Amino acid sequence: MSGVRYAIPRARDKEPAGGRTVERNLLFLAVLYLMMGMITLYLDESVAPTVLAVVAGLIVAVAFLLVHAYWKASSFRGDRYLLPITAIIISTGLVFLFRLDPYYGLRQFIWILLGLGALVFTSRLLLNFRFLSDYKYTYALFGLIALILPIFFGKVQGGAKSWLDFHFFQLQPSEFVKILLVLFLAGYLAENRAILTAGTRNLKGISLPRPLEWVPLVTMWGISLLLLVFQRDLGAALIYFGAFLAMIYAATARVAYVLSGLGLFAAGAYTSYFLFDHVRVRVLIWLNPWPYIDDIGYQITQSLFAIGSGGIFGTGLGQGYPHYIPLVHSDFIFAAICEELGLLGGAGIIILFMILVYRGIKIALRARGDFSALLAIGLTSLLGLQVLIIIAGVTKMLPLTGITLPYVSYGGSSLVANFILLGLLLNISHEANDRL
Amino acid sequence: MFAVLLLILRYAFLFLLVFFIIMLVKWMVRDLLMEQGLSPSDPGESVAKEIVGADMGRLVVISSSLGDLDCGQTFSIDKDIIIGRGEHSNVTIKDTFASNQHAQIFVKQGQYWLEDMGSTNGTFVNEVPVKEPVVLADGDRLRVGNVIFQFVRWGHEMGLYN
Repeated sequence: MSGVRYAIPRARDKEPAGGRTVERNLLFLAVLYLMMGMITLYLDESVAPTVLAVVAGLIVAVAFLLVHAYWKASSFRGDRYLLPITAIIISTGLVFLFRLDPYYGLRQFIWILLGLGALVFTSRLLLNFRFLSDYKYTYALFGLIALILPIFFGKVQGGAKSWLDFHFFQLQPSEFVKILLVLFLAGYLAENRAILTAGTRNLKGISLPRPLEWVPLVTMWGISLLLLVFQRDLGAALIYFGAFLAMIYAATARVAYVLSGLGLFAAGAYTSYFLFDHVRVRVLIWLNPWPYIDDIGYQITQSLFAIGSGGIFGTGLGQGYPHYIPLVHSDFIFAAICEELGLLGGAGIIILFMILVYRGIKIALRARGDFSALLAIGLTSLLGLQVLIIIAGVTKMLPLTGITLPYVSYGGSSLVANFILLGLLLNISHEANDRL
Repeated sequence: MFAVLLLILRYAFLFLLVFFIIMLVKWMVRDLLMEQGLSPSDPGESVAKEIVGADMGRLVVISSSLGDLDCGQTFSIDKDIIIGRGEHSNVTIKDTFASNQHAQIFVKQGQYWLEDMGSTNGTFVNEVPVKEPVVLADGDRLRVGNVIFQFVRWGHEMGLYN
């Protein structure tokens, strides 16, 4: 029996150097940051101060700490960096919404509480999320219905007809459908991964899978893209497209799929340029907004002015003039952040999102099983692409497509959907950390 | 005076954002270092030089109908080992379905390979019979006779994330 030792599995109760303590410490910092911002706003007479901002900040802070305490008590083993990163990003958003317009701030405050509720529910009810892979066609169906509804009953807002109006609040189904789509794709690809990778027939030396294997996939995805185009919600279409390609590549490691996807994208972009007026306008003001500074180029040029006037350290919270930018509370909130927190703050937000994506990919790499890994990759790429597309749009690196900056922009659907996304990622990492 | 206080508060707000990121990165880097440098519980008579510390593979019994092999029992693989019914095997399985020298696990270029040694009833990894040597990945389930082991590679997962 030489060389073999019987080892008792190590005791679990020993607190390793980084348990949930790291989460708690980072959350304390985030909470301090949030309160600092709210108190500054309250004391500053130039920005319509209300004591409500401080109260709301305090309640959000307590809510985040309660979520942490609950997870600690229920020995939840999800990734311990995700919650603090989200907390500080959300705090930035909330502080800026109160600074821009307390009306949006208050509504966002309520959505944050609902979102945290959704997060706790997700981490509780969907802890054994694997059963989700059994219902992939159900999601496909629900997702499509949810995308069709706004076409008939929708309300046009910001050029896109993607909103359902329920009197006191509006719902944007495409925010939730993106999670359903990723769930469907993860389930489908996990099942058919091998076939799609190897292919079952040859076409001039290139092995291709049989139509039966890829038709459901492409149909589902094509229909959802078409529906989004009908809603004129091109930003969402772009995110769906990118997430789809990322997941296909993660599942099969075949560059050919990605290349043909990009080819399709080029064709689609070209067609929609000639088909839709608003696409042409977006491209026009992306190439050169300055001749149109008084009308169609006004928003983007104001955004550029704001970002430029921030300098390195910014004008200071509450000292800028973000109200010149139309829609500054939603799509263009990043410009306001850059103006008042400067390059440092803007880069900081980008770095935080990058770390979030890094954690997501790490979770995917450690995940047990194909479904979990693909789900993690899909959710992460949804988040990363959304951030990339809107920040690139606001800074005029890409044509602008109206989508929200996750966790920062005002928007209830977006916030709750992204909290559910976070919960799923945490559950996947819980599963990876929890085994044995 | 009040204006100065406000100014300080404004920049303290920005400073805290940057400070948060610095602490975040610092703690994440510390985590990564710990994952890599976790010391082995007992180096023993280590033969496999490429495999050190947290990289050391383990076999954990997760299903067994035998009296002398309990669930949760762990075998550290710090050298090439033989699984079988015979006296000279390193992991002894007193199961009629196991051959004397049933299978072996060896280390090659930092990876653990499993090879069936011509057993009568076969060795299974994730319920797939092993025909030629296969590389074991973390989480693989090894079945010999009626005993199922789980192969565990990254040692830190047992302690660090609890």
